[in-house]
Amino acid sequence: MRSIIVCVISLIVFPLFTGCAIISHYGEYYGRVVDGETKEPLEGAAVVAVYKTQKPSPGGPVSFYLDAQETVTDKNGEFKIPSLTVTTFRVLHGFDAHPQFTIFKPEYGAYPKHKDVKPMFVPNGTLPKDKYVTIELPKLKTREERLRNYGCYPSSDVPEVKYKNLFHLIQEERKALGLESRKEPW
Amino acid sequence: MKQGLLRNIIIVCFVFLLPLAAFPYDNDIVHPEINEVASRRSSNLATVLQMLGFDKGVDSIVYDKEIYLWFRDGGKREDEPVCRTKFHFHDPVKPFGDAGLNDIVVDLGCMNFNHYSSLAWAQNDDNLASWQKARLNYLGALTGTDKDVREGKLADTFKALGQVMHLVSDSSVPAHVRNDAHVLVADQFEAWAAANHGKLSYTGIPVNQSIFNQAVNDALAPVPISALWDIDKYKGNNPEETVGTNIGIAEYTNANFFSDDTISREYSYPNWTSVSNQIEDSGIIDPRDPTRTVTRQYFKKDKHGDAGYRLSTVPFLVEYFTDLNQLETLRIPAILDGEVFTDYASKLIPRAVGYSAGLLDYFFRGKIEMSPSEDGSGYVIENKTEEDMDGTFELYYDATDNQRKQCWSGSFALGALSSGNNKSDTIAFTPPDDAKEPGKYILVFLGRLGKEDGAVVGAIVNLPSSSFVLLSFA
Repeated sequence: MRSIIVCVISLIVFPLFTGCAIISHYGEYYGRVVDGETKEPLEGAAVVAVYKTQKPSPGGPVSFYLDAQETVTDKNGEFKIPSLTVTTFRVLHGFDAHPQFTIFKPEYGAYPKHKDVKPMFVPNGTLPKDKYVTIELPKLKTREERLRNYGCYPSSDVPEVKYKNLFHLIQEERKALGLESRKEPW
Repeated sequence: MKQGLLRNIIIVCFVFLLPLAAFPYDNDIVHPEINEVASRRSSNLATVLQMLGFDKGVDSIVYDKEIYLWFRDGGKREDEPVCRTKFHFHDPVKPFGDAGLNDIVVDLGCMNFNHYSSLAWAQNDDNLASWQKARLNYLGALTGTDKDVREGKLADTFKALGQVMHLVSDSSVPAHVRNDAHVLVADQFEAWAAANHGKLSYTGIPVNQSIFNQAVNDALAPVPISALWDIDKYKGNNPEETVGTNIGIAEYTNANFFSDDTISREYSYPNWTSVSNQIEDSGIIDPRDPTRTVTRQYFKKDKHGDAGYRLSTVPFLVEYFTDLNQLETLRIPAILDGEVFTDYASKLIPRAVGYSAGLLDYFFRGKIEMSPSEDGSGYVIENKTEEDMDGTFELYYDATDNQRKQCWSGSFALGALSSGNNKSDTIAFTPPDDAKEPGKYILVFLGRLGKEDGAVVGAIVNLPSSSFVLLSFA
């Protein structure tokens, strides 16, 4: 009888501390963004980090938006995404250890969407934490290439207000390509 | 007593700790990307968007968002809530009613004991993003009174179609067509694709459009889009029939590829007689030292359907066995690694793109026109599709008060384009006097188109104003 009671209590208590996403700490991500051909620094590129939790499902794990941070590169092409501690309470979720990054500047291939971006870290779209990286974005030569590349929005559950700079740069690129700009949704 | 207690606690901890394992990003990246590329490849979608006034195609904005983003959104949302994914399986070797995932653990976890296969789920009444719901949304997008409501319905159409495209794409994943659930440990092919999405080729393999004529007549999936999954051509013992694009994507995947837990077992094909006697050596990155490469051996598939790719790794002890079937008997594992998945993806992702584009082409296939009759006494409606039409035709216009209003409707049948019987009798109606753009109308068909009941077709028609005078007195 005592064993059963302990088991029932365990069933209630353990999820609170194990199978739930509650608190996680993410390190700093920093580096430099350069032109893939000239190696010149690219100023004003948007760098967005999206943090996720994942939940198992019969068809495999499913990702859910948790938080996002954004910055832009300075005149040396350098950026820094500060460390982040997130607290949440999501039953049966696990934290995804790797934030998903998007790096974009108009007229350049976006990281990780464009195949010629170097280097491509594994899992693709991530960056190594606490390590200085140099990302080379290829300059795009044709309108077709730019049309196929500009749509590098983070996944649809990330609120646009979390990536205002990226949003504006994408609209700038749309305008340059003769497309109507989207209204700011915030 | 103490041992039993300890065991129970370990089990509880184990169950709840497992979700903390690292998982892939699939619903964030691969599915949305397949959907976007497919939406850019669909020629019928491009034609309809042009006709509706979206001259930038899927880069146009509908309801404050690019059209391709609505398709991407559908690709992501189909996995939410997560128990929807229990309906993302289709085993083509079984009858449609038994082809879904049947796993008691999954049933209990989701507290849902239905086993719809993805093919049936795509057309199921309980599915709020089914093909039929997409049709209703499209009808609302064409006929809704208010402009904002119409735009919202159009966005919902694209999103729902994106969700159905997700179901088609899932049938290019071996685990999803070989009844191989992967709840706590991610399917390795999907995990690999998510982690290496930059390597994937999204060039589509166009589906043979005649496939819709071969759809299985089944109440669970009355619309012929079921043919994209399964035309019941592959019976489990005839993999040669799965070569080419005149085959359901689930049939192709099931017959030609292994999933993690069905390597040469559970299904007849592929098996160890499907591979070449020549073992292929490939250089791979040394897992112990990424700066070096090492050689690994692979079985190359060379018969029983599609061929010319690495099917699995070769177990270390293979040279001691004359009969490869002993590998399974002796439980000597062959595994599927990144090199195998590279080859699998090169075959499966283009097919997922092509079949998803085929789904869109089928949705937007209907073409109708309206023009003055030869004698000038009215108008005729013409079916420009190679499928019969039988249903209701309605004519709408946008009024000066910005409301869309109906000005005529009629029910009749039209033969297919090549039948010679594809034109209606002369139609007369009184033109509205409050039209915002006189002469511009929206012609809508709702009814049976070929084998599809509840089909919706729309067209913007410009009717010469000179005819209005005649009609006004008619």
